This record gives sequence, structure tokens and C-alpha cells, in this order.
Amino acid sequence: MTAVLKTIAGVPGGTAGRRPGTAREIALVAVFAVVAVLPLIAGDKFWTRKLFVIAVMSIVAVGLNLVLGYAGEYALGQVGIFAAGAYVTGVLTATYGWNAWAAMLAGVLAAALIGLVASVPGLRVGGWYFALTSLFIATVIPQTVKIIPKPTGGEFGLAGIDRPTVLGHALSTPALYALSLVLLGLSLLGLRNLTRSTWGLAFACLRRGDICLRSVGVSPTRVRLTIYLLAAVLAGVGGAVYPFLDGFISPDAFPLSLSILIIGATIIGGSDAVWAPVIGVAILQFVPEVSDRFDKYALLIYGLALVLGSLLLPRGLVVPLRRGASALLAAAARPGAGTGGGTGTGGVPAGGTGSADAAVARLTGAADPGAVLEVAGLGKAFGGNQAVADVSFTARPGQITAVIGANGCGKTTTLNLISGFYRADRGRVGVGGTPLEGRAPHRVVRERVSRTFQTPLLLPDRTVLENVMAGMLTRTPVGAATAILGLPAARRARAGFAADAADLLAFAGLAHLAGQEADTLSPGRQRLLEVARALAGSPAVLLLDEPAAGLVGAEVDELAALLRAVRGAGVAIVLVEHNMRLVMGLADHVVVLDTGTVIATGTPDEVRADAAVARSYLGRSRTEKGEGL
Amino acid sequence: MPDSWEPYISALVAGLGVGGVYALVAMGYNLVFRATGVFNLAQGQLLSYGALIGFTLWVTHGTPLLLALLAVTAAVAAIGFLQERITVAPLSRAGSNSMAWVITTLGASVALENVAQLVWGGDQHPVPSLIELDAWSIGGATVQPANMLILLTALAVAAALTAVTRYTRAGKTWSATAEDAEAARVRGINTRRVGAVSFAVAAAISGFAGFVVAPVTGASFDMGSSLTLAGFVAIAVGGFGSAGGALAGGLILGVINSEAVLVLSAAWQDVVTLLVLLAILAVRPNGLFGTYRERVI
Repeated sequence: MTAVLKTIAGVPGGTAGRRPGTAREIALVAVFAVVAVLPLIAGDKFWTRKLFVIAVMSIVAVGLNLVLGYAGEYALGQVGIFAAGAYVTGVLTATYGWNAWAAMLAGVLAAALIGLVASVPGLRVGGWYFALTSLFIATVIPQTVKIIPKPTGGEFGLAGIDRPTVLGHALSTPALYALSLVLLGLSLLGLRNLTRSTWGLAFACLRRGDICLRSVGVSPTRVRLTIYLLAAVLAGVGGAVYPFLDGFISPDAFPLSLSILIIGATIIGGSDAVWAPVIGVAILQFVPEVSDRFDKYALLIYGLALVLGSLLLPRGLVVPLRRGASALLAAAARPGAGTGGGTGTGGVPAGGTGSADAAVARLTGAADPGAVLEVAGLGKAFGGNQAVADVSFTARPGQITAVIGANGCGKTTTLNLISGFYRADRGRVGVGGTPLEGRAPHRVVRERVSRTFQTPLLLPDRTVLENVMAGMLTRTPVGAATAILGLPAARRARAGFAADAADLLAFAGLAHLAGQEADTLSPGRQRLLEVARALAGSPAVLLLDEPAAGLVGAEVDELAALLRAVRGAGVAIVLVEHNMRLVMGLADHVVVLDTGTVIATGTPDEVRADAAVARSYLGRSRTEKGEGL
Repeated sequence: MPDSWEPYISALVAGLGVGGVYALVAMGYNLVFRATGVFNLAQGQLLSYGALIGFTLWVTHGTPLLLALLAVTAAVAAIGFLQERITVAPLSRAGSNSMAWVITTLGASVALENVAQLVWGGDQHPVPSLIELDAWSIGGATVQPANMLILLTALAVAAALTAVTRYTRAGKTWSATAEDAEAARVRGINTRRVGAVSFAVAAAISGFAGFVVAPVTGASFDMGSSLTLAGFVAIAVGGFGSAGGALAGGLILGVINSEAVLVLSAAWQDVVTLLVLLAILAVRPNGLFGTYRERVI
């Protein structure tokens, strides 16, 4: 029983590198077994059917949860893909007389294909636009059978879908139900492995936005296609078993309200656990059952679930369930007081305390004296506004090159042009002779040019350690299949990330915060954390966009010490900054911009003495003592 | 060359009528979207309430037509206002970037539809023509006055909305809020009120439109969900940002749909709508006349 509670209370993917206890695995299987046997013991046909439907819908909803919950992608077409899987399986079995098992396999493959095709708009338009498009696709796919009534039975439905056989015996309803449970269990297991692998970090980044994912060197398109495909496969698996319950399907079996049910289940279940949608589906299937006029109020209940679930429980029922389970565990552990290790609130990093020296050694080892960043004649206009007119400078390894200038002079635009977020109208950018201009931002990161942002792009609800680990995604790609199967390679990659990230946290002076969620940190610490993440890919060039903004007192000194250490490791640093004391104290080389053009370059002393710079900064008359400079 | 153009012209005229309905839903979307950045997925259901309340007042209780029109418009505006307060306003506290409104307005749409079914039942209620006019004929093709009335309503609403957004202070306030809610707040615009008012006005348009549409489509609880999606496709075709784009998109979609049903079969209607959407996404994701661009960063 405590094992079950621990499973509920646990934070999958929440703590890095933790070896999942076998007790939990056994507990999950035990829950499954109990649920599976219940209707069989009762011998109740009605409940067996009901639970079969819940299991099938859960498989579909678990797929939606991967897309919507984990990755924040509004791909709402799951039910359409489910229908496609059901129809392909049904038609091949009933109309063409295929072996049911082969037809099921074909149904899953067809659903995967259709899911990929249906996801193409998601690569072109994002957000709510894709939400509506995919919802529309979900309602239209079942209607297409009316166009081809010959093999599909058209609007009147398709009958005679014979159940698969084992040793010559057709599966009974309880056996079919057991099959659906096994499939659901495998789906949950695979997704659990996937979300706990390094892929889980990529999903969290995608949920934060394309820019976040690109800044850690991962292609959003690749992650999107992967999750769309996986969600489609799950919808297809659900679709492939579904027609065999009644041996009959019709377009009316896949109404808009079914999409609403699946979405509602995902919302009220919650997005932090792979099993959460199962609870959502069960609730939405059972609650209308309590009233005897099911059909009359079902949509009202689903609708209220969507509204109230979003407003009152934005992270789903998982959160209160976890809290309850943790409280029960704590209560149970108190009298026993001994063997139980406790649940751990935020999670302690498994990598142990990291070594700052190891982090420096890795940075130094990766440093390349030839990796000189060269920017030549860069220009960019937005409409009529020439944000960057003509910017050229060189940033050398082991040096800090500061880019300064008044607000709106083109500093951040220059960083965006170097890192590929903007496409330059003209000019060249290269590192160690490799041209960077025209490359997508995540490809620039792969050339070991990483950056931070004016507003830190952290994963707010992930731990500090995990935030740094996300920065390593570009380094060791793990195949999705490897991750789903939970192969040792996937676990090793994540453990390696955790260990290296712990080193970097020690280096950045954040080791004591490793287990905290990133949004609990002070703004200053968040900036240090983002610098640590940018270092995670062992960059040759580090671009920093106002890292000292919002830092107070000693935090500025901490940042300066960190940047000196990074410079000492041989990294080329480009520092865009307004804090002149920091710039003048740190920089080896200063580039001054004014209205998109370089007006001065040189050492801090040379720049300080430059008349043009003084004019740009202090206005026409230089009456002040040059406090800033 | 077909034997006679007559069926195609009849379908064209009918398509303009249906397209007018799509356009009216699309203009409601556009109005709310411009002001709040929210796409109200219950817009189609608000239109169905216009038709149903109109049926009750005018057909069942014999309320004078003009009074009934006014009452319907006001009642649906109130429903829209409440919907914004319950399903959208609480979200602004959760952060402006949140897309949770996709879920909450979707929830509102199915809840409203279910309530309509409980109140008015599952049947389609016939509504007689609002104006006593005989169908006239152009080149052998029949033109139903009810269809023309829908088209005229759509044109009038589009003209009124364009005038309001271009020339009045309220319209400019809305545009400013849509552009940047934070900046609008700083300049003293009550963005909370802009949200609620835009929902109410869009609902009023939908309510009025529902009444006008009812003689053609009948009044039924489930007329909203197909309109929700068709209105979305209309705005995707026409482009976001202007009432004119919504009008053009609605009419184009209506005519394409109507001709497709004639040439192929009724089963093709939704599929053709989807193909239109995918085609526009592939060729011009901003729509034919779009002015709105989603911000990248």
C-alpha cells in the first residue's frame, strides 16, 4: 500500500538521475492487476465493457497528455487519429477479411501516418491556430468514410468486425479488456521512461517556447514530429482494439464530444504525471454515470470540467493527489520511524555535490584557441528602422569583449543576428572560419555559440539542476526508441547530465540550490543559473545579454568572478551590458555602438578617453565627471 | 459546358447566404480576437442562442418582430458578457501568455450547447421568413429573400465594424489593447472592460445574426458547433484583423461549399471545408486579406 502511495507521491522526472525504486514498479503492476481482476470477479458484463472503454480512452488521452501536458502543444486531433486507426482495422478485418491481429498492426501504422500528415499544419502555424486546425481535422476524419461508403459502410456504419483469435478461439470480452489493459500499461511504461529521460527536458523546453528549445541547440521540428508521432501511435493503438468490443463502428462513434472528453480528462488529470489522464478519463466516464440521465448532462459535465479544471486546478488533480499521498506516507512513517527513507519534498540531486574544478577542466578541455568570433559588416532593418547598420568586431577566446551603447543602439539585435534568431540583411558571422550566418539558431548553438537572454528563459517549474541539464541536450542525443525502452544508454545519458550539471552548479556557486524549482530563485540567481546553462554545452563562444540587469550588491561580484573564471577557461565571451563598473572592470576589449554603427573600439581605457563615446553617452557637453565611464 | 447554368447560379446564391452566416461568426471571432487575443470558441453557440431565443419570443409568444430582435440581441449580449467574466477574465491573472482560454472557451461552447438542448430539446424548430417576399428569379435561378437578408446583414455588420474600428475612439482603444495589452494599461485603458465589452458586442452581433439566419437553417441546439469551425476557416481564408477579411472569407467558403455539395455530394461538405483550410495554410497562412501577424518573440 505504501508503495502505491509512493508511486502517487513520486515526482517522475522531477529529480534527476534517481533510480526508480522497484517497489513502485511492483505497486503499479499491483494496481493494474487489481483493477483488471475486479470486473472479472464480479462477472459483470456492464462494468467489463465500461472499464474497457476507459482503458481505450486512457490510451488516447495519455498520448494527448504527452503533447498537450508535457510539451504544451495544442494538437487536439487525437480523436480523429483514433477514428482512423479504428476504421483501418475494422475495414481490413470486416471488408477485406484480414487476420484481426494483422489488421490491428496496419491500423496502428495507418494512424501513425495520418497523425504525421495531420500534424504538418502544426509545424507551420503554432498555438491556438493549430489547436483549431487539429480539432477540425479530428471532426472531419470520421466524416470522410461517408465519401467512400463501399469498403467503410458509410454513414450507417461497418458491422462484422470479428474479434482476433488465440489458438483458434476468439477473444472473450474479459480477454479483450485484459488486452486493452496490457496496452495501456505498456503505453504508460514507455511514456514514463521517455519523460524521465533527457527527452523530458526537451519537452519542458518546448513548453517554454521554441526560443528556449533552440537556445539549448535542439530543433523544435524534430521534437514536435517525435511527439506528434508518438501521440498518433497511441491513438492508433486505442483505435485498433476499440472496434472489436461491438464488432461495429460508425462515424457517430467519434463525435466532437469525444474530443472534449479526451481533452477534459487530460486537463483535470494534470500534466505532471503520465498516469494522470487515466484518472481524468475514469472521472469523466463515471461521474455522468451517477446521474441516471447520462446522455442529457454528459456534455455539460465535460464542459464544466474543462472550465473549472483550467481555472481551479491548472496543474490538474495530480497535485492534490500527490499532496494527499505524501501526507499519508508521512503519517505512516512517523510511528515506524526507521526503514522508510521518506519521500523527499523537492528531491535531492543524485549526482551528489559537484566539483567546480571538474567543470573548469571540461570547459578548458573543450576550449579552442582558434575559435575566434568574427562579425563583419552586419546590417539589419525592421521596416524603415535600421536597427543595425554596420557592425564589425572580433571576439577572441580567453577574452571578454564588451558591447556597450545607449538603449536602442542595436546591441541586442546584434546578439540576435549572431545567434541566428534574426536573419541579417548583409554581413558575415563566423567562428574559427566556419560561417554562421543564415543558420537556424539551434544550429548556431551546435557550433558551440551559446547565449543568455535579457529575460532569463528558464524552466520555471523544474529544478535548478534540471535547468542546467537542459543545456546539455545538444551534446548527447538519445534516440526516442532508446528512451522509451528505458535502455541503459538513456539512463546513463541522464545520469551523465546530472553529474556534469552538478559540477557546473558548484562552479556557479549555486550547488546548494540544486533541488529547488527555478522560479523560487532571486532574479540575480536566475541570471547566474542561465549562465550556467549556457555553459552546459561547453561553448567556445558565450553571448551574454545584460547578465547584470536586476542584480544587487554582492550578486554583481559573484557574476564578475564567474565570468573571470569562464574567461580563464579559454571561452570567448561577448558581454552586452549597461553596468559600466562591471564592464570596465572585466572587459579586455570594448565595442561601442551608436544607432547601429560601431563608433569606437579598444581597451576600456581607450574607450573611456574617446570623445565620440562621451558625446554618445553623456550628451553634448561633458559636464559630469564620467561616473558611468 | 453544362447543359444549364441554373443549378450553379442557385447554388451560388444559396452559398452567399450560408457564407453570410460564416462571415457573421467570423466577424464575432475577429472582434473579440482583436480586442483580447482570445478566440471565443463558443461564438457559434451564441449564434444558436439568438436563433432559439428568437424562436421562443417571436414564434411561440408572438412578440412583435422588432421588439423580439432587440430582446434577442440584448439577451445574447448578456450571455456573452457573462461568458467572458466566467471563462476568460479569471485567466488574465494567470499570465498573459497562457493559452488556457482554448480549453475554457471550448468548455463554454459544449456547456452552452448542452443547456440549449435541455431548454429547447433536441428538435429543429422551424422559423418562418422574417419578411413577406416572394422568391425571385434571375436567369432561371431561384433567389430566396431570406438568403439575401443574411447577406445584407453580413454586409451591414462588416461596414459598421469597419467604421467603428477606423473612426471611433472605442475602436482605436480596442486596437491598442490588441496590439499590446500591457502598454494599453499603462496609458490608462481599462483592458478588463475592453475584454468584457468586446465579448458582449460580438455576442450581440451573433444573437442578431442567429435570429436572421433561423428562417433558413431552423433553430436548433446543435447549429453552433459546425459554425464554430466554419467561422474559423472563414477567418483563416479571409485573414485576421479586419471585418472585411472575415466577410470575404465567409462568402468565399460559403460559395465553395455550396458548389462542392452540388458537384460532388453532401458528404463532401466538411471535407471540402478542411481542404480549403489546408490549402490556405499551405499557400497564405495569413489569409487572403490578412493584416494581423502573430508576434514571434
